[in-house]
Amino acid sequence: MSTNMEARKAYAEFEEKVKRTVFLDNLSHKVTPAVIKMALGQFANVVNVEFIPNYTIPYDIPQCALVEMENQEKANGIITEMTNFPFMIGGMPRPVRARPAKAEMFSDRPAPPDRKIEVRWVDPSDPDFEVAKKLKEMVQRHKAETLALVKLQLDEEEKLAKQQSEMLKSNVKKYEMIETIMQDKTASSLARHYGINLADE
Amino acid sequence: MESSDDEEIMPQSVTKYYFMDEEELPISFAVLPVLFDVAERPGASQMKVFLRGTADEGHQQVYKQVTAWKLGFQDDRPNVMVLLTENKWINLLKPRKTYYEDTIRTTMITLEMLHYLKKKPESSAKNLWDHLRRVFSMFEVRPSEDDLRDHLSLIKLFTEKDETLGKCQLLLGFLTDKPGKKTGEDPRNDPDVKHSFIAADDELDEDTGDDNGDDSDEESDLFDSVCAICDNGGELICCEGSCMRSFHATRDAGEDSDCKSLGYTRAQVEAIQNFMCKNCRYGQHQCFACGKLGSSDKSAGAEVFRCVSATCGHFYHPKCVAELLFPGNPAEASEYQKKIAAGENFTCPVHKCIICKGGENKEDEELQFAMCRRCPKSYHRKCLPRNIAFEDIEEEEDIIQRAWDDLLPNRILIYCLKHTIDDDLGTPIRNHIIFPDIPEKKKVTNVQKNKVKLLAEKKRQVSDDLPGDHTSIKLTKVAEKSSSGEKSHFMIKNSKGITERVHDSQKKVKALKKSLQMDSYKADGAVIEDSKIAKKGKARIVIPESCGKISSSFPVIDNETEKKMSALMEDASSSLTLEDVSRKCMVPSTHAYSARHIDKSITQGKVEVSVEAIRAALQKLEKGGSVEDAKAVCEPDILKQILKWNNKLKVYLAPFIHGVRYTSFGRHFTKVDKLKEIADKLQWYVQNGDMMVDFCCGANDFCLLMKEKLDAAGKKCHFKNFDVIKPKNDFNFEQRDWMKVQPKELPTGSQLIMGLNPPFGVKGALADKFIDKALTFKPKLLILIVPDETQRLDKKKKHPYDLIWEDNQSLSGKSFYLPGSVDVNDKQMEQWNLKPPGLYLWSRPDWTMKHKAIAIKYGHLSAEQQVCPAEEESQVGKPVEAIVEKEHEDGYEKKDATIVDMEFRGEDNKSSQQSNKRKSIENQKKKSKKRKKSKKRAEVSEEQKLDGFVDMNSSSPPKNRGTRNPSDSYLTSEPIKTPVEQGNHHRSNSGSGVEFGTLSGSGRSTAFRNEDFDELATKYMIPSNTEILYNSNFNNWSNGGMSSQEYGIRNSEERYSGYMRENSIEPFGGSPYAGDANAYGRSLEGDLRMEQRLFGIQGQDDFSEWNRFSLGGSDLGLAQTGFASSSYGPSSQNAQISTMQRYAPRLDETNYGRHGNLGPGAPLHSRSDMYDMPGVRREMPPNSLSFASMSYPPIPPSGLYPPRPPSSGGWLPD
Repeated sequence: MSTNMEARKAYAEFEEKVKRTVFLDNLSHKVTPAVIKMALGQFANVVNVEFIPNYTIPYDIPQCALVEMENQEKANGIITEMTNFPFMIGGMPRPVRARPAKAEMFSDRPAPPDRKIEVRWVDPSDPDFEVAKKLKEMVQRHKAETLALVKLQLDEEEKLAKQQSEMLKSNVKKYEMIETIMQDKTASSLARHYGINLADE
Repeated sequence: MESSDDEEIMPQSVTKYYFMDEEELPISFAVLPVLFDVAERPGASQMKVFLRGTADEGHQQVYKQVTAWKLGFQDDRPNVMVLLTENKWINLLKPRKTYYEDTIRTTMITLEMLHYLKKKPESSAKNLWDHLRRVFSMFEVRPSEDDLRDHLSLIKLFTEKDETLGKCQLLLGFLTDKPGKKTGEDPRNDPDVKHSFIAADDELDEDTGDDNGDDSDEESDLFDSVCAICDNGGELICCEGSCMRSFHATRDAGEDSDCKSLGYTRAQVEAIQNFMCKNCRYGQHQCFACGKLGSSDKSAGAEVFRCVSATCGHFYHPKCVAELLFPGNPAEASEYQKKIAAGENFTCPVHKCIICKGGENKEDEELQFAMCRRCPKSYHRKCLPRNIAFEDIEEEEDIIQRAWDDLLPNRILIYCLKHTIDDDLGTPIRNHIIFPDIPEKKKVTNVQKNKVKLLAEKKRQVSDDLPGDHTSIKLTKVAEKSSSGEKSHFMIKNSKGITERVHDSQKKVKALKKSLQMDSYKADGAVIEDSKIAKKGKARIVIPESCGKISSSFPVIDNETEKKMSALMEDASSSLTLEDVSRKCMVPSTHAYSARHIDKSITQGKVEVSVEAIRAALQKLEKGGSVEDAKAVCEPDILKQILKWNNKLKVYLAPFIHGVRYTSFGRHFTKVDKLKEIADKLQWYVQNGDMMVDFCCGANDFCLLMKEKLDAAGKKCHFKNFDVIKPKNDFNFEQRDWMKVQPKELPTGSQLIMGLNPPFGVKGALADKFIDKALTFKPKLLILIVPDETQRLDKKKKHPYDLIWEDNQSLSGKSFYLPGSVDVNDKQMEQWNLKPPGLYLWSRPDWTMKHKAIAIKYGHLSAEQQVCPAEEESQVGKPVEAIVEKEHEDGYEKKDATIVDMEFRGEDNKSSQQSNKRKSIENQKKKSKKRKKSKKRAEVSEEQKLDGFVDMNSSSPPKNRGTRNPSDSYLTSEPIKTPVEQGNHHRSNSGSGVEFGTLSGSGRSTAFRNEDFDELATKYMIPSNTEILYNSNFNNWSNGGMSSQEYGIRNSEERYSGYMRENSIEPFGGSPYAGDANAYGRSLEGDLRMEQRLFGIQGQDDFSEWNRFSLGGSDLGLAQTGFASSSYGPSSQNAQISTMQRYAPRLDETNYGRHGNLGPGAPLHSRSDMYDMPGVRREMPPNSLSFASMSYPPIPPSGLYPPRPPSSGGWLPD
């Protein structure tokens, strides 16, 4: 009885924790817990940062993390803040997404009290067999779809990054071109010849 | 306001115009009666409206009263004219930008619509709105029906008065339409169009577009902004290459001029990051003279070379250009040809007038160039042959329009007589551009591709055919054309039939047009479809490959799923547009300013060419060429332009140039310890009941710090903190955009103190905005951390504020940090500015006096301000002036005095009789003084409490202005009185002091005045650290008060001295005055003590220093006292002279500081010395008098000033 009570209590505590936790998505790999702590620290005190390991896709995909804040209010505040303003963490060229965390996101979540899971084999003759099979197929399909989606996203991001860097490069080139004549005084001496004062401009 | 100079030639037209009413407020001309008949005259209007602007290319200012206006339909654009009171019509050309955007934009849209419909009453709504959007495309808000709604009565009037418009179904429909129903929205309102309008209507109010707008306006002014194909303006795409041409990218964009355009689709255009025309991409350009393509790639044996002129962009064969440059001189031509072929710079014939061989001067209208678009030929406006006319001349059949004025910036676009103008196009045949035909797409073996191409081809043909009917009416350049039956050359067979039919009956044409359009859409659709298929096909092929590549790390996905997903994604992404997303994201005013777009018009080619031109121009000059030649290569505006570009790019690239310091929101916060310093300083200016407003509170630390301070001081204040982003601590925080806070939300200005660290923005522009906003609240004090470039508040036009102090040092070094950013070691990232921003305290003028006084008392004034106090003071009321000046002086004197004193202390054991030594001391003093100051600044006010000690010296606790006044005022009020009388004065003076006290509105002074000294003394005696501040103030105060009484009542002095002694006992170990503990010594002692405290100001360490001093002080003090009373006298006498000489000039200059030093020496001798000698020496009697008197006042306050002891001693006994 007492264990049950304890479990209930623990679960209630866990639920509270979920409420004050923010789920961060699309994080760069350069982001460390310290980075997150500092980044969100400007809005509220960060209690704990936990990265969710990527079990699903054997590929370098953006990370996600669970960030526990002081209280639920602060957590919600951060979510609105990050939704309203594109928020970059770790200087990545994409804003990080923030959402309220869900219980399922925690790998160490306690089992809800009063729930029992039974596992058994199902024979092909079992009426549940078809159901189970469908479920299995669905899971597989979901997996494939997730993969495809992630890939598309990665592709798109790569394209965007390429575009941005191209833009940047061309602008840097322009800047450097102008800078050369600024540096070697060509511009200023010509301005002198013309009798105009560049400093005024 | 009627202009009387009637004999002056009335300008025909006016630019940069705007209208004002009698109050000089901008007003739309539409308020005036509109006339439809030239002969008609308006009735008397009750409103007086004035036209302002410039005419005659800016040479003439126009300022006329106008009475009516009318709309001219003759031209291809609506022509608005206004009627002057002189009964003359004047054309309105270009409105002033701000006026346009703020006042008459909607009117102009309405007029444009009326004009368009007048020309094409049958036009569809879609065409109308497309047209309007194109015409007003340079504005971020696109025309909407709402813009017209304000002018319904005007529209109605036109429909009544004008027959054509009266029959226009669209217009009538609009008039009867219920608001809300959108006639204007065409069904095919593609999202693409929306994309190009970044700013949504609702953000316009806070948009800072005007600054940007001006820039970009000028930007496009130097380079051609017409399509290279059709020579018309509109929506263009700039080639990044060195040809610097612009093109209509889509058929749509070039529709007006029947431009075949580059034939891209909108989607394609959007996908293009940096457009480069094929000529530039493949390094093959046409020779502008012979029209043949040639390689322009210098690394691979170029055949054509680019003219070096910055805005030219034309290429030539060396032979062609040499022949043009040296006609009839083959020898020289071949010589030059070789030079060019060898790579030497040249300017092509375009840059000299073909008639007079003169250069271009864009400033002078007569010397502006008319440039042929098809061959290298230019004329001055004045040299332009008559046959190249701006208008068709009907009488002489062969003259048709060949010149257009407004298409090129400060230039005239012409087609010279060599080229036959095509009647339908209004331009010569457009076969002049040859793109290198490089089979780039041949590598794609997809059959479908070819099909696509074919279709595109077909489409283009169709489009060529199609607009026959529009263009003859629409082509902006071509005024109403009498449709001739002639067919354009390149129209293909069946178009003949079409055009004929066009002329037969309009209805048929419409039908036909529709079908054609349908065709073209179909074609369009087909193309799209096909390309889609092609893409997909390609994708299908590609995927396995790419999968193969990634599969080592990325799991393989089956095509089916992938396709499904990509379809899903496409679906999702098509359902939302960039606009929707950006609308959802708030753009706080702090961010709206960021370099949102780096201008697309800064193309690489332009930069490259400009840079090269600048170099070439300089070379030319250095080789002895004339300035005019150089200007042909690179006009001065190019230089300015490049500078502007440089700045723009700098801003845009800043995060990359200056290292990757990119942070979340690009904010920077002031470090807490710096904030503490500021709070320490600021607290003295805060009064009970004030409200502190931090308009950009960042981490929200400042007000909290202030609250701590003020609570400790027993001041109850309110706080309010604004920012757009929630801080960690939400003390009195409100998440608001400062720009949106309304004045009524905060208390009145005299209770407001605002600060602190606004975002700076480019060149302080954002800071300016924040400050301007803050000024609307009229706060009594503004404390600001802003960069130098920010507009100073005393330069504000409307409500200038007075500077109390500024501090350019304390925020140097790592005073800031970047919130939310960590460095590699996971430490908070710090930030420092190459040029530290300054800390400023600004006061509302009516509070300046008070705040200044506080500043002086606490020694907040910085060195710079010492230099020119007089200037600053001049703003203050006159009676106050003296005081304030005095205050200054006091402050400085004290400091100096201390220093001198220190010096003495250092020297005390030596015989100070050697005047030489003294001199050296003086030197030291100077040095040390400097050092001290900087030190002081460096350490600033972390230990502001100690500042309190200084305040003691200056004898004015924050609220007790009055108290200080009595002491100060002795002399101010009676500077002329001889010192001998001084004794008597004191009473009366102290009286006047009281007067001053009341004057300055502080009743406390009197209250304090009457307080029992003992009480004060006891207060003072309480050595509690926390209270030191206040105690010292009291004490200080009591000093002042005491001293004044002291002079009158002798025995109180005894009390005082006793009290002083008591004070000094602590630090000095109780044996301060050696034997001669008389009044002088005593007071001297007090002084010493004070001075040491003065030093204490400089930092906590100084405190210990002070202790050190005071510990050692027993001897020091002893020695000093002795020294002061004995050896000091003689020595200082000598010294005094030298000092005087030394400082005399400087003294006169400004610096009162040294007085303390002088003063002390002098009195030792005799008072008269002090007053006379310096004066004589300086030969500035009045000044010296006032100086003397100024330096004098400190004396009465007794022990405060080291030198004084002797002097006061000298007098008092008298």
